[in-house]
Amino acid sequence: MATGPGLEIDIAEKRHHGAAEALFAGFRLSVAPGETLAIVGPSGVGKSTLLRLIAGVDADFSGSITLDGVPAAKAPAPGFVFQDARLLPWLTAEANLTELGVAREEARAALVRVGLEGHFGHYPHQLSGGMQRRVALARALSVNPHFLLLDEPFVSLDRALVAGMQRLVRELVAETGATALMVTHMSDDAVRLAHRAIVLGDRPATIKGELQFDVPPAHRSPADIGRFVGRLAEIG
Amino acid sequence: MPLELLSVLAGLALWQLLATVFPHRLFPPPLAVTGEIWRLAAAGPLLADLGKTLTRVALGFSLAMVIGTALGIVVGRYRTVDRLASPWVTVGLNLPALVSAIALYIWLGLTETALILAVVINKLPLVVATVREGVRSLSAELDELARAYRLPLGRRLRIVLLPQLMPFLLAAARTGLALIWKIVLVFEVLGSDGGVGYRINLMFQFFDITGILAMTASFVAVVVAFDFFVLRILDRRMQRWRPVRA
Repeated sequence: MATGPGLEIDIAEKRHHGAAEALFAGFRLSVAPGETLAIVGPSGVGKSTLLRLIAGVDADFSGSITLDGVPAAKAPAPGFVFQDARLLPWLTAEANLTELGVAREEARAALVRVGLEGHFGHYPHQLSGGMQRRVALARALSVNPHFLLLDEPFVSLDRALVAGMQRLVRELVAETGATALMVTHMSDDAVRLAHRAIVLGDRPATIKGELQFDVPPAHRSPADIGRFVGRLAEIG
Repeated sequence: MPLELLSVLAGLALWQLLATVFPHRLFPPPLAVTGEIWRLAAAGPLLADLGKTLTRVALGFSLAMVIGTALGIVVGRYRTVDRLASPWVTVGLNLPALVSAIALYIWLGLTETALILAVVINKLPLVVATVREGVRSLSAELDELARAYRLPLGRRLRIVLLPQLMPFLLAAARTGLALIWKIVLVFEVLGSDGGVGYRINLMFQFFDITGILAMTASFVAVVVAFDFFVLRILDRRMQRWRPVRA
C-alpha cells in the first residue's frame, strides 16, 4: 500500500510582519512516511502557522520545508482540515468536493464514508455544524488521502461527536497510510490518534519534549490513554 | 396577485380617478396615455426612439460595469491605488451629470461617442465604489482555502471570488441602471438625433404632455421589466444557497 510522503522541516526563521521576536528560529522536525504526528502546545505558540507553512500557504520564511524532497509550496495540495469547516457556502456538499477537482463518484464515496449519504445536494447552511465538519474531512481525504494537515479538527464540537470523528480519522488514516500532522491543544486528541506527539513552547518556538506512543492508536485502552495524557502533561 | 402588481394597479386607478375628477388638457388620464402609446408605436416614432435610447443605455451600462468592476477590484485590492483613486471616486460620485455631458459635447461635438462617454463617466464611480466595498469584504479564510487546495486562477475566480462579489455587482447593476437611463434621457435632450429624450424635448415644444407621458411610460416599462425579469431572477438564482429568510 502506498503511504504518505516523508516531511523535512528546517525553518531558519519565520517572523510575522512587524513582530519583534521570531516565531520560529532554527526549527527542525522530521516526520516519517505514514506517521501521524500530533503537535501540542498553548495558543499562540505557532502551531497553526507551522501547519500553514507546511501546506505551502505561507511562503514568507527562510529555510526549507520539503515533502519527499519537493518544496512544500510546489508539492500537491494537502488534505487540509481547518479549525472551522470552511466550506464554500454557495456550493452543495458534493460540489464542495467536485469543484476542487474530485471526480463525482469519488466525492460521493467520500461523503458516504463520513456518514453523509443522502446529503450530497445539501448546501452547508442546511447541514449541522458536525455534518459540515465531516464534509470538510471528506474534502481533505478526497483531495489528498496521503497527506493530511489537521488544524484543531475537533475544536468546538461536542464530545460525543468528537469520539465518532476521532474514530473516523483514525480508520481513514490507517486505511490510506497517510502521513498526518494534527495540531491540537487537547492532549486527549493527540493520544487517541497519533503515533508520536511533540510539545511546543516558548518563543521562538522550540520542541520542549516528545513522546513516542508504544501502543498503536487502534489498540489503546482507556488505561493507555490516561497514561499517555499524564506523560504529555509532564512534558508540557 | 403579487403585492407589487397590486400596488401598480392601485396607483393607476388613483391617477385615472384624479384625472376624471379634475379633467384638464394638461392632465391626461392613464387610458389616454395608453392610447397614445399604441398610436406612437403603431404609426409614430416610438419603437425607433426606444431602440436608440435602449442601445445607448445598454452600451453605457455594459462599458461602465466592465470597466468599473475591473477598476473596483484593483482599487479594493491595493491600498496605494485606493488612496490615489479615492479622491477621484468621490469627485466622480458628486460630479453633476449635466456638466460632464456639456463638456464632452463641447470637446467631441454632438456625437454618439460623447453621449456614451458621458454616461460611462457618470456611472463608473458608483460601480468602482460598490465593487471596492465587495473586494474589501472578501474572506481571508476562503482565500487561504483556495491557496491550500491550489485552486487555479480561473476556478478561484469562479467559485471563490465571484460568488462573494456577486451581491455587490448586482447592487451596482441595479442602482446603476436606474441612474443611467435617467441621464441618457437628459443627454438626449441636450443633443442627439433621436431617442426618447430627443422626442420628449420635441413634444415639450408643443406642450404635448400626453405624448411625453406615453414616451416616458413605455421606456420605464422596459426598464422595470428588465429589472424584474432579468436582474431579480439573476439575483434569486445567485442567492439560492442562502438560508431562507422569514
